Amino acid sequence: MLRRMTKRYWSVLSTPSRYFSLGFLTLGGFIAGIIFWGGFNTVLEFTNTEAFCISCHEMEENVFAELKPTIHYTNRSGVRATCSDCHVPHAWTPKIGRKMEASKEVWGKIFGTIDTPEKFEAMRREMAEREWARLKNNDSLECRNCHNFDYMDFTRQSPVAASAHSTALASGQKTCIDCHKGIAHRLPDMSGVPGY
Amino acid sequence: MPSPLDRTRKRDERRVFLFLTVVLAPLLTVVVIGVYGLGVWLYQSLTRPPF
Repeated sequence: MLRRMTKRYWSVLSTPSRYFSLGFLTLGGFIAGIIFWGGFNTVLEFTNTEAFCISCHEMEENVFAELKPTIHYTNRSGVRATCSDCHVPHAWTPKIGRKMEASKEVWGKIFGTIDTPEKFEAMRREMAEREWARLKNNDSLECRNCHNFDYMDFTRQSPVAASAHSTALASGQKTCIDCHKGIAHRLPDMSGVPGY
Repeated sequence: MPSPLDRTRKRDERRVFLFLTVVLAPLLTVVVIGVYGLGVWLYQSLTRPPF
């Protein structure tokens, strides 16, 4: 019975259509593809929203709470960064890679890897190191999404900042994350971290 | 007036078309993109220098 059905539908699939025009099939498929792609991207971008990220209490009660008093959350100009601005690459391929890496976060949510303050603190250093390595590896790409070095006005920075930026940063010896750790969330135990 | 066999065939074609556009193509696309993403993730974890 199932074999007969399979044979029947397979023959429909593998032979030219008798009742639907080429125009209908092509246009229909094209429009369906557009609808799908729009839906796919809408969902993808939804997973980049702050509301989505903090729907996990692990995020809302730890890193989001720590973000609130920082300059990346509230400041004079009201220009701020949300979770994805720093943690999700803009370019498509790295973004898709990051989204598959997020399966680890889904696992963590299901199995409660960091679902208590104690568990979170125990893993804080490891999670921080992962992000530091990621940003060091891509030359602080997400920082540079907003902070363009070429347009920095050194005359409006503190003497320490102006000197640091015009030397190590300009030469490429250092990247943003080397000095600006803890800019958004509380630092872990920093023993063994160069420069701290 | 389409004969019963023609009507069956037409119905089958409609079903296959809908299955392809609404189920199979979207599913395959998500799977292919997912596998691509896994590849990117694997590549990055292998080529990332230690912090």
